[in-house]
Amino acid sequence: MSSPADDSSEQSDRQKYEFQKVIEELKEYSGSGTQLVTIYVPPDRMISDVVAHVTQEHSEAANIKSKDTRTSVQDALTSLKDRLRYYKSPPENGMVLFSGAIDSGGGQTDMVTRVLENPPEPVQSFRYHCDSAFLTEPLEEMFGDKGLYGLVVLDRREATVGWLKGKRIEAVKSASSLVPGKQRKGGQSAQRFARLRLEAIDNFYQKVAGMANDLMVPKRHDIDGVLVGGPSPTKDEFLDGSYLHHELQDIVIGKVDVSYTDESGLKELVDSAEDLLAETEVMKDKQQMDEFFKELHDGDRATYGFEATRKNLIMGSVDRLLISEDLRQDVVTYTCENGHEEREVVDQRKNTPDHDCSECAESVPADESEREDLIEHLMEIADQRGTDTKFISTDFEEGEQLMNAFGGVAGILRYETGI
Amino acid sequence: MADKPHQNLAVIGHVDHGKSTMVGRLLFETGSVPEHVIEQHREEAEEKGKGGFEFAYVMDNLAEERERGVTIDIAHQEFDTDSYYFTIVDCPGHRDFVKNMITGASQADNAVLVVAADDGVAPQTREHVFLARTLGIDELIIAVNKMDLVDYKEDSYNDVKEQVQKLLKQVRFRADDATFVPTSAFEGDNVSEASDNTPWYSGPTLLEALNDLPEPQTPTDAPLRLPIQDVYTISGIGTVPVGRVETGILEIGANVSFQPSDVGGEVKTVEMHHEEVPKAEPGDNVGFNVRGIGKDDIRRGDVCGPADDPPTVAETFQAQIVVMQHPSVITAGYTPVFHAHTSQVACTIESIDAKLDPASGEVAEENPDFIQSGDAAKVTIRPQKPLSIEPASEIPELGSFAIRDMGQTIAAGQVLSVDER
Ligand SMILES: Nc1nc2c(ncn2[C@@H]2O[C@H](COP(=O)(O)OP(=O)(O)OP(=O)(O)O)[C@@H](O)[C@H]2O)c(=O)[nH]1
Ligand SMILES: [Mg+2]
Repeated sequence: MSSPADDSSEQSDRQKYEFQKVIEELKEYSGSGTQLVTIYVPPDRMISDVVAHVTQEHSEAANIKSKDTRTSVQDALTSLKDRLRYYKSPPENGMVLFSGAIDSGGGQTDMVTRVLENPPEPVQSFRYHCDSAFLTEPLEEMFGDKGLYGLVVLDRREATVGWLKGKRIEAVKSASSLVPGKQRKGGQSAQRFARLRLEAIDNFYQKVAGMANDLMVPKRHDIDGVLVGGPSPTKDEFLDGSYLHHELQDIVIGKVDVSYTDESGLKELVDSAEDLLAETEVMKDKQQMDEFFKELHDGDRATYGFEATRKNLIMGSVDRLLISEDLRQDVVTYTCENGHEEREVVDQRKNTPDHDCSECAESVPADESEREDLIEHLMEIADQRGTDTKFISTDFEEGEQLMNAFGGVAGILRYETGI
Repeated sequence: MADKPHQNLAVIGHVDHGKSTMVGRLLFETGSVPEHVIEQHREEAEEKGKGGFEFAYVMDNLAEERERGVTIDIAHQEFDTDSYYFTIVDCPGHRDFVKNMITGASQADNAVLVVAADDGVAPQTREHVFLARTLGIDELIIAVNKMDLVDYKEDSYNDVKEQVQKLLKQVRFRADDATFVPTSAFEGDNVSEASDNTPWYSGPTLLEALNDLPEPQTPTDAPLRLPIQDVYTISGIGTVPVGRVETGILEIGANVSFQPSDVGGEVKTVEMHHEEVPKAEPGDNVGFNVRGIGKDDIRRGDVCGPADDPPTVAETFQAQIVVMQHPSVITAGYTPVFHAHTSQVACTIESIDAKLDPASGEVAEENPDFIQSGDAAKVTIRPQKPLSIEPASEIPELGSFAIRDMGQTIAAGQVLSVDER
């Protein structure tokens, strides 16, 4: 059912989710002094070198004036050295280690150590970093947006330029024109009017090109393509007239009919350029959501919300599980004295509530419940039933709809189940 | 001019069905455009390989329109009949320019729908009819055009007439009293003179039908509301916003405010049909000048009103919408383009508060997760940029809107209440 390519993309989706959870956690921590240690280990670095570096730092730390900071740093380094002992050589893509004493409130500290193996891209260079916060940016960049497209929409009245960055559409700048409308004021000859208008149009195209050039030329080597849209004739004239910088003109990958030329036009442009962008991440997510919406509309092969999706998953009727990347919820399972099992969905930042069984009104205290990550809970069932899991970004409109209108969980079904 | 009432008439319909040709023909036959001008247009059209467009060129005066034979922006023309002084707005039919058609139709009282006999009801015929109803057009006159291409056959006429009647019923336009006229805009059949080619037809010509339109009602007790359609700079006068007075009176000396641009001043001049007038009333298309207002201070979509009772600007608003066609579903978070009077703003449907029974208007379901084609619903809407809009119960002329996405009109609605900024 699922090809090997699908498996690997699912693998990376899942890994991405797991990494991101750790990164989010690490970003929340801070140390009272410069005592949080981060080490980036590239794949070709010998572990013995890394250990030597850590030992060196350990002895240098003896010079730190503040006693608290000194012991914290040395504890962190000892902890890291212990972890490094498990490795003969770094994993294929290298690894990132974090350790330090974090503030846990009320003057208390907690020792935290995390090791992330095999990030999605190879670690480029060895880095030793000691600060009041962990260094997560290089890792975050690896998960950052892929794909950069320049967007231009224009007609005779206005124009907007912007980006498609990964899955996010960003309007950067708009301009409106001084091109006269259709109403010619009395007294002006038709020829003169037409000539003035042509001049104004030419000026406006130059202005639009200027806007696009200022934005895109500095990034021209990172751009995967430029899309130009607008109502019928304008975009043709704009492109045929070679107003754009030639290096941008060369990477125009599409010219698309679009009716709006403000920010909505950029969205329309990306929507209408579906074929040209088929291989990009945004389109892959979008296609999943479009299919889900279609099923919701025409068919019965769609489900959403935690309970309904879970039921379908257990039945084995879910072909693809769609999960919002921004979902941060736990599921709490309560079993009452009469053996009724029920679940509640709880925000990850909230404490576990007590629960009243809906069958027998028996109350189940929070400490007798079982709490786990909602995504892991669903993915585990999905794995057992051969269901693919797709993580959907909230950076684009439909992805945001999944999160906000459907509780972040949905499924495309293999057959109708009536749930 | 003051002796006859005004009529604002929009000419709508699918691309290439003959709207501009019809307007050109009408102007020619009523003497507003002399023969030698048509002759000039004929030569120019033939040169451009666009033979047959000579009447359309009367309205299509932009170079890019003439070259392509497609109307891009709306154009106004004035002419009069025995009973009315008409301002006629020729709308583009091409799907890329529906946004311009909306601007034109939002200023009209009544409309002529042109449907080509050899093509029948087409996608923008539907979309325009739906929009016309949403935008408050009262009466439709339907010109079943290009009758010459179907050999003036009554069957073909009846066939198209039936298609249109069905469409009118679908969008709940009063279908019974709509007037149908078989025409050829190009040959001149039944435009101003009854044609010998359609002996089976005994109804009015198009011109007679226009003459018979009911007089538009003019509400004057509401405060001034004048949506700006365009802003010109005219030498000797300065900045001239143009638009149609929807409600209230625009008077020289009055203090006005433009919203949401939030600027204002004293009205210095008011011009209508190239003549200065002391005041303008609902239905009047005017250009005017306000002390201290520059071209960059205001824009299309602003509404002009009294400084002491300025147009409402919405932070959010509640509305009742009807989904006409949507390929999938509409949920909270959906951000299509809203067209209200002359403005066009992306708005987010913040919540779907209730699904309504379309027949009774009663609540069928509270807080549904989604709605789809055929559904009516109460929703809360947040404009992504400032938007001036009014509750339909207070100023109906400024209280309705159309929603577009994916190059089509997907829904329409009416404002129930506004949370002001
Ligand atoms: N045979 C015939 N051709 C017609 C008639 N009316 C219009 N045409 C032709 O149809 C073509 C389109 O006419 P237009 O008037 O530009 O159509 P339109 O509806 O204004 O088109 P848009 O504004 O672009 O939507 C031209 O070639 C006209 O000559 C008619 O009654 N008979
Ligand atoms: Mg036309």
